[in-house]
Formats: sequence, structure tokens, C-alpha cells
Amino acid sequence: MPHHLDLYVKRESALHRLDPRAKMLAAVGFVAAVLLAPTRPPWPTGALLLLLIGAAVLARLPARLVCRRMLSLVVVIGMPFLLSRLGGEATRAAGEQFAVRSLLVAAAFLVLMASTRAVVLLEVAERLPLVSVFGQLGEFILRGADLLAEEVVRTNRAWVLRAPSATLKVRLTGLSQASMSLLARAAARSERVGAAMVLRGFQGKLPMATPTPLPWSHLLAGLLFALISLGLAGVGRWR
Amino acid sequence: MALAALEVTDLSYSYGQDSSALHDISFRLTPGERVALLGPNGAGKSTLLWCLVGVLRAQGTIAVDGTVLRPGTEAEIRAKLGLAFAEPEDQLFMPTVRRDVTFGLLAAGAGSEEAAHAAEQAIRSVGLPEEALERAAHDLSSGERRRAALASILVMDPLILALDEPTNSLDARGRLSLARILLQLPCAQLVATHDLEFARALCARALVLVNGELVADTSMTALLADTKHLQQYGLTAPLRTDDGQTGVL
Repeated sequence: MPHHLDLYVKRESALHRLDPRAKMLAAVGFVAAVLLAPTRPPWPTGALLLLLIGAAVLARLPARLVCRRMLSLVVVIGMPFLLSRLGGEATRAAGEQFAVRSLLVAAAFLVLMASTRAVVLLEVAERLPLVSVFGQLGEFILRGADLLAEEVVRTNRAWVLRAPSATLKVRLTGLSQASMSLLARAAARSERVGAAMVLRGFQGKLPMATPTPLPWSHLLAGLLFALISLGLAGVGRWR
Repeated sequence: MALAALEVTDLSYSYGQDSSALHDISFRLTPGERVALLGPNGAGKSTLLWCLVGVLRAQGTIAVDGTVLRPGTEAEIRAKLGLAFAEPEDQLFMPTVRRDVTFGLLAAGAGSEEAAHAAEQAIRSVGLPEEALERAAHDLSSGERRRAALASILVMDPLILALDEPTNSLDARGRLSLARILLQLPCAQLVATHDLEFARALCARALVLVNGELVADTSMTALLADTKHLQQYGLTAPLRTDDGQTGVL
């Protein structure tokens, strides 16, 4: 069973096999390209979208799943976009730019996370100088979310057993009240986890195994994707 | 007298000014000896174990393999005395079992290959397949979690293994399997439990804690034969079958 927060989709594909560091490099290049590319005329961002769709197809990701995951983001991104429509020309252009870029960046991360296990991505992030702390935090969040999810399931079962005829509203109220006790338990657990870490020699940074060298072919593949993305953005911007 | 693996002298600990959790505890463990730390709930067993590794700062003296626990020696003590928590979930805090099992070694400066090799050995020694290293803790059964947490301690090759209620949430088969693993380990063991049957299978000697006081330091056989004192200590003897044998272990 994967981690509850893991968006990984198990597939046999070239993208799944690609070294996560190469994928991160490609993703960083793609995000930079999205930020550089103009949204008017639309062809540079359209080309970037096609490139991303190509990557998703290469990863053999089910279209329905990608669309479903994108749908939740559309709500988040759609609201500021709709609000921007109420403003003048400059506001509308900014809103449009924000919506297009956000969707493309989010889609890129969805493809990255669907083709790479979250724990592997976090380990890569942990080795990067500026985002190391986020990688470490992410690992705890990943594990913590698993524990919390188990607790929520157990709490919900206890509710169902104690009040089998309770309406959804009553159960949700109970769950929200129980969340306080879940928080208290989480705090108590964090103390014990802290002790477990100290007992095993924790000194402020999670110990990491030395990474294996990144194969040249993987590095080149990641670099190529990043350069194509940047090339498209560059042509669109300075043409 | 041979050097003790663990020597505890006049150990006392209070959670607050008026609540004495441990009072003048003294005992010693010889290398390789397995000792049961018995007592009813709230007797102070867990508190004693937390004191031994210096998480709780107690009065008195704790010496592990001749090294006295004091500010500056905690790391040395903790490398020699491994503590298995009552709840294995608390010791499995990383996203994969491999990260958990290699944690201590990598933190101590071991190389990646050495840590990986030791992790594979440790996970096999607790009866789990190597593939378990790649799994997430929530993906393991209670018994497997217990064993994975144990592997994360055994990988450090401790001189003493302290276990806090190791049979919690284990079924009879799980207890038997754990007992077999522990019986094969060469290190000294201090097993805090209220599971007398498990203690009898594992240990020849018993320390009994009641209300924070060490009320008995005796052989398991003598303790189990003494029904009157067992009752007095708040302990229950394992059930006997018709042929006089006790339980599943």
C-alpha cells in the first residue's frame, strides 16, 4: 500500500524508469520555461502543454486520472481567474497569465509525482541545498499523514459502531470533535518520536545514504527535456 | 566481580515534587543475561527504561559496560543500550523501513554500503524478508512493525537490549516468534512486561517493581511458584494446562 499522500501511479514506462534527479531537472527546466513563455500569443504555452502531454503519454498515465487530479486544481486556480475577469484589461491579462502558468506548473508536478514515488522525490529534495529542509519535513509529513489517516479511519469506525444510525452530519461533527484528541495524541507521539530519533543519534539533520551516480543517459534525457522547454519559451518570447 | 553490562545504583525519579515514580532502585545485569522486569501497569517499568537511556534524568548511578551515564556520555550509553519502545510506530518515523533501520548507523557516520548491508542482516535476523526494507511502516502488520522496530535497534549491535512491553498487540504466534528471535540474540536483555508467560519463556531472573520500588530480585521459577507474593505484587501467574505446562510458549 503506498503512502496516503503519494500520487504515484505504478506503470512500466520509460519515464518511470528515468532517474528521479533527471526528472527533477526536467521539471525545473519546464517550470522556468512556463514562467518565461508569454501567454499571448498562445502558441508557446500550447507547445509546452503538448510537450507535457507527450511526457504523460510516455509515462502511460491514464488520462481520466490526470484529468480528475487536475479538476481539483482548476477550482483553486479558477477562482482568482474568474475574479480577474471583473477588472480592467491589465488585470484580465494578469489573471489569464496566472491561470495558464499555474495549471501548466501544477500539471508538470502531477506528471512528475505520478511517475516517481513521493519518498524518492523527497530524498532527492533532501540532498538539494536550498530545499533540503523541505525534503526532511516532507518525509515526516508523509509518515505523519499515514498515521493520521489510520487514526481517522479507526475513529470513524468507532463512531459508526457506537452510533450506527448516525447521519453523515453527526458523524462529521463527531470526527471534527475527535480531531482535537487526535491532535493531542499526535503531540504526545511527537515527543516519543523525538526521543526515538535522539536515541539513534539524531543531531539536527536526517542521515542520508550516499547517492548512486546519475547515469549520463538519464542526465541527458532530463537536460534535453529542459532545453526543449526553455527553447520553446525563448522562441515565443523573443520572436 | 566481572564487569557488569548494566549496573544501576540507588536510582530514584519523580515526575513532580510529590509523585515518586522510582525509589532507590539497584540491580545489575551480567553480559548476555536476560532479565524480566515485571510489575503491574503503572509500576514504573517504562519510567525505569527511559531513565536508563538518559531521556529522563534520574538521581543515582547508571553504568553501562563501565561507562557512567552523565552529561556528555549519553551518546555512548545509547549506542550500547538499545531501547525498543512499547509502541513500535513511534520508532518507525521515516517513510520506509530501510530509512528507519539505517538511520542510527548513518547518523553514527557509517558508510552507505555498510549501512545497507547491516540493514539487510538486521531485517533477516528478525525474520522479515529483505523486501520489507522498501515498505512503509503502515504497510506492515503489528507483528512486522514490532520486528522492524527491533531491527532498527539490533542494527546498532547493542550490548544490552531493553524492551518495553514487547508483546503488546501480538498474537500467540507473534509472541512465540518474538521469543525465538530474542532467545537467539547474544546481548543482555531487560524485558519490561506484565506478560509472565513470555517472561518465563525468555528469562531466568526477574525483577519485580511495585509502585516504583524494587520489591523482588529472584528467579522466574521461584517467583511463579510463589502465588501469594504474585498476588501481592499485582501479577497473575500464567494459566496451567492439565499436564502442568503453561500456555503456548
